[in-house]
This record gives sequence, C-alpha cells and structure tokens, in this order.
Amino acid sequence: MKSKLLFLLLLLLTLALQFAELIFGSVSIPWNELFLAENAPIVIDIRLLKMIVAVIAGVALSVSGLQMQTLFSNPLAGPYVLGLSSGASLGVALVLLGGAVGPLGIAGAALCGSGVVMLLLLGVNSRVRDGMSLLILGIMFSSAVGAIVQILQFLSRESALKSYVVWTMGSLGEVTWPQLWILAGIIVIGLIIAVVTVKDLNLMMFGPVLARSMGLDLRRSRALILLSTTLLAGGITAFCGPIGFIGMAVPHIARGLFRSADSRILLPASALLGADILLACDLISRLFVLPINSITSLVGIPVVIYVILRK
Amino acid sequence: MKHLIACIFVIIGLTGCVRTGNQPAPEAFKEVFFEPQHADGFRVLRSGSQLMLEVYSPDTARIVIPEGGFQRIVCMSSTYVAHLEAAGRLDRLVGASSPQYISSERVKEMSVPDVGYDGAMNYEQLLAVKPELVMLYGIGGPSSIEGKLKELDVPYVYISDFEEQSPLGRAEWVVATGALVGEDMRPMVDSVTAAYRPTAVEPVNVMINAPYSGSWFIPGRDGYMAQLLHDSGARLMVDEPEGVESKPIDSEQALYALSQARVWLCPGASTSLAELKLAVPKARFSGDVWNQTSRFYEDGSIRPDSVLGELKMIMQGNATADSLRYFYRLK
Repeated sequence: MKSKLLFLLLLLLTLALQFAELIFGSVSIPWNELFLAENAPIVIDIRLLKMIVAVIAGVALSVSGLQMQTLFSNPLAGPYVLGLSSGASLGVALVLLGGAVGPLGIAGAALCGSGVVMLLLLGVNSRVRDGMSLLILGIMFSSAVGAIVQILQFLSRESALKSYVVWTMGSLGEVTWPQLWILAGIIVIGLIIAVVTVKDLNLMMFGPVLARSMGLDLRRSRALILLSTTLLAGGITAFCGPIGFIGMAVPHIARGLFRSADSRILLPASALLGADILLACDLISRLFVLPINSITSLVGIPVVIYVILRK
Repeated sequence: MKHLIACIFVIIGLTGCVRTGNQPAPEAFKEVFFEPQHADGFRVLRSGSQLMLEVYSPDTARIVIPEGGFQRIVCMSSTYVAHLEAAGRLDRLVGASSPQYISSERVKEMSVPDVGYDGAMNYEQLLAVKPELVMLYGIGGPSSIEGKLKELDVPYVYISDFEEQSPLGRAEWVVATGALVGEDMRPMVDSVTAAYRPTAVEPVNVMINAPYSGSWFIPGRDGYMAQLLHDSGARLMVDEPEGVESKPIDSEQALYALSQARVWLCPGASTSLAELKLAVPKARFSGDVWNQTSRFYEDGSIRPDSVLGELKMIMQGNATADSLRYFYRLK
C-alpha cells in the first residue's frame, strides 16, 4: 500500500516537473500562451524535447545503475563502472581531438566506443566465473581507454580541447527530434531487457552459489544485464555526454524511500526517481546556467557520502 | 493534439519563407568579387549587385547574401564580433557567445544577449533574438550545434578564419564577413596587406609559451604564430616542429632555451611576474616578458599589420608603453 502511494506521488511529481520544464526558461512565456503558434519553436523544439530527453536519461541511467550495483553487489557501482563512459569518450576524443572524420558524428562515435567496450566485456564475461573479475577487468579497460584519451588531449589544439572538455560536461539540450527517435529506440530495447532480467537481479542478491542452485544461468544473465546497461548508459552518453552520479545515487534513494531490496520494486522506483531528479537538476542548471554534470554531482555526492558513512 | 500538429505545420511552413526575395540561384554567381591571395577557406562571387559567399570548411557551402546584407546576426566567436566592428556594422549584432568576455567597449554598452556556447547553447535566447544568420565555427568537423540549428531552421555559415595559418590569410576573412553585412572590406585588406612588412633586422632570441604538465608546447613552423614571430624578427631558441600543429618539447630543453632568450612571449595564463614565478619556478630569465591581450584573438586577427608592428617594437626593445593593444608587459 505504501509503495503504491509512493509510486503515485512520484508520478505526480514527474508530471509537475515536466510542466515546470515547459514553463520555465530563458524566454518568459506565460503558461496560458505556451501553445500559441509563435511560441512553438521554443516550447516544442527546445523545452519539450529537452524534457523528454531528461526523462529518458534519468530513467536509463538509474536503471543501469541499479543493475550494476546488484550485479557486482557494490553500492558504489554505477552505469559507468565498466568503462562505457570511457569507451564513449574515446570515440568522441578520436573525432574532436584526433581529427578522425566520419559520417556518424559525435553521437555515432560515442556509441561505437561504448559498443567496443561492451564487446570486450561480453568476451571477458564468457571466460570468467565471477562478477568481481569482470568488474576489475572493466575498471582496467576504463583506465586504459582513459590513458589514450589523455594522450589525445595532451597533443590536441586548445580549441579542440575545449570542445572535448565541454562535451564531458554533458548536455541535455543538443538532441534533435530525429536523434531522439534513435535514442528512444535504443533505450526501449535496453529497458525491455532490464525488465526481462529483473528476477535474475533478485536471485543475484543471494550470491552466485545460491543463485546457481536456484537455476540461474549466471553467465547468460550477466551478458543480458551487460547488454542492457550498455544500451541504456551508452545510448545516453552518446547523445548527451557523460552524466554522472544519477546512476549511482538514485538506486540508493529508491531503496531508502521504498525500504525494499526487491528489484521488481526498485527498478520502476529508480526509473521514476531518476526521471524526477534529472528533471529537477535540469531546471536548476537552467536557472544558474551551469553544466548539468555540476548539478548532478552536487546532488549525487551527498548520497554517496551517506552510503559510505552508513556502512 | 490535432491543433498542436497543425500549429507545428504552420510554423514549419512560415519558417520556410526565408527572406530571399528574387535572389538569383547560386549557379548564377559566376563573376569573382574577391579571390583571396593568402586564404584558402572562402571566396566571394557576384551576380549583378548581389554577392554570394562560398566557404570550404567543414564542407563546401554557398550562402546568397540579400541586398544590404543580413540584418540580424549572432556571432559564436568574439573574432566575428571584431569583424563586424571593423565593418562598422555592430548594429547588426543581436546575440553573441559569452559577450562578457568581449573586449570592445561598444559591445559592452550594447548589452548583447548571451546565446551560450558549444555544449551549453541557450537555444531559447537564440530564437528570441530572431537571427537571420549565425556565424559559427567547427573544430575538426561540423559544430555540435549544427544539427539543432537545422532543426530550428536557423540559417548559419561557418567562418573558418582560425584555420588559416597565414596572418594575411586570416585578415582576408573580413571581406567575407563584411560581405555578409553589406560592406566592402577589400580596401581595408589592401591597406593591411600593404602595411604588413616583415622585418629585415638582426633576429632576436625569443622563447614562447609556458609548460603544461611538464611539457612545453612549441608552435609548428608553418603555423600562424610562428609566421608572425619570424616576420617580427624573432628567432625561437628551439627547433620548431614541422607543419602547423604545436608539439611538446621536454621542459629541460625548454628551460635551457629560455635562459638563452632575450624576450619571453605568451607565458600561458600568468598576468604578472609573481604569478609566472609560481607557475614556472625553475625558469631562469631576466629579459622582458610579454603576454597577449584578448584583443589579439579579436581584432588582432584582421590587423596583422598592427600585431606585427607591436611585435617588432617588443623585439627591438622599444615598446612605447607596457600595455599595448595586443600585448602587455608582465611586471
């Protein structure tokens, strides 16, 4: 009963924040003039589009964060722990800093980068027994890719370096409608896999031995979860840049609010909360004209500190 | 919902009616109005009394210029603002990227709206100023905002002056931007070219830049800065790398070269000798240290003759003041 009430409240909060996204902006538009034809470019092509992107990004990052925390039994894991963000960064760095020219653009390069990391991880997954080995190897991939990106940064022109640094700050406002359809498609597939594997997440919480004894095919489940995380986190990173702390912090907030460890509750709860928090962060970032990552970090860091202190 | 969709189509239809009047098709522009002698990135063609700008980076694009030029322009770089000011057409500026950092006093007085920057564009503000044209740049390819500008049906043109390595080539771009606002800037370019006179006196030993993470970046031999230095009578105390890109050299080599130099130019972000000492504590240097002002990146790009004049004064040790237009002495 309490869960249902909480879900209802979160839903209402989401609607309120979405309305606020349409109302507030640099250009003052009264709420009763929102849908006048003359305001359509601002309301539809900027505010509405950004609102949808914020919702999708919040949902995707939170769900993938929950998956990573459950998969590795690590409360500080997030969607980028396996190097997906680093892979995307490498793709973007090759375009912006390395002068690699291609038809896909920055988003395509970022997706390719994440995809390469995912393939490496899937290959490793088939050879390792436990998740800890996968986590360590993922961190190593991340560091290796990060080192290559650093070299590219070191050798690039100032102007290219600035473009790359600005990309790393993340932005919800650069996505176009055609890109949104591609992004939405990727996220929907990722979410479907996440929903299909939600019971596997519950079994994984009992540890690998017990999970196997209950009939869980660990390698298969890990592979599906990795695929889902890559689509969710990699997709968002490709189109919005790396957006930190949402994936790490929101599952904890969901656990605290719903007082449950059941992934069947936490998954939709994290999704809704993630959307709400990212919508709120976007409103704040617009108000103070700051990069979205600065705001998500300021929101996420207290949560991470709380988790560590509580332990 | 149906009304909303209908509104969208009306908007799309209206925005399709760009101010073109009876403009000739691009194919009709055959006469060359301006062919750069030093720049590679553009040319201006004419058909009757109308002009068309053809640019080649990041891709070839042609923009037909309406009679009298574009009336409402947004500049994504402070350099373009300087171009407009040189053309006497700052009145056409309706928005800029980070205008608070632009040196021009006139621009400060105008309180130009800030449209944001790459990665943090304020598209609402951009639409609110109703631009007829956005001047932008792309690093290593199209700008990240291009897709959104297309979606919002905002016309844009790439002004890639920064890709020119020749100082006079960079200056020639003022003809392109001048044409966009209906001004003929060819006489200015002719006078700047005539006034740009490389020095023939004994070279002066110079060191440039400051270390970054243990490495010292030296401009490429064929790059913009290297050409300005050569023409001003500077002799860099390290071998310049081939090509146009800056390359790092070891700090040890750089510090030794610095000890042999008489002038230290552009030592990074330091604005005083005290700051410089903190930033490069191992530097042993007793000569003059000069850094660039922000104007170097603004109107300095279209007045290489003036920049060269100041550099010559610095090299010869007879600068008229500690604070020039494009350089200032660290004290």
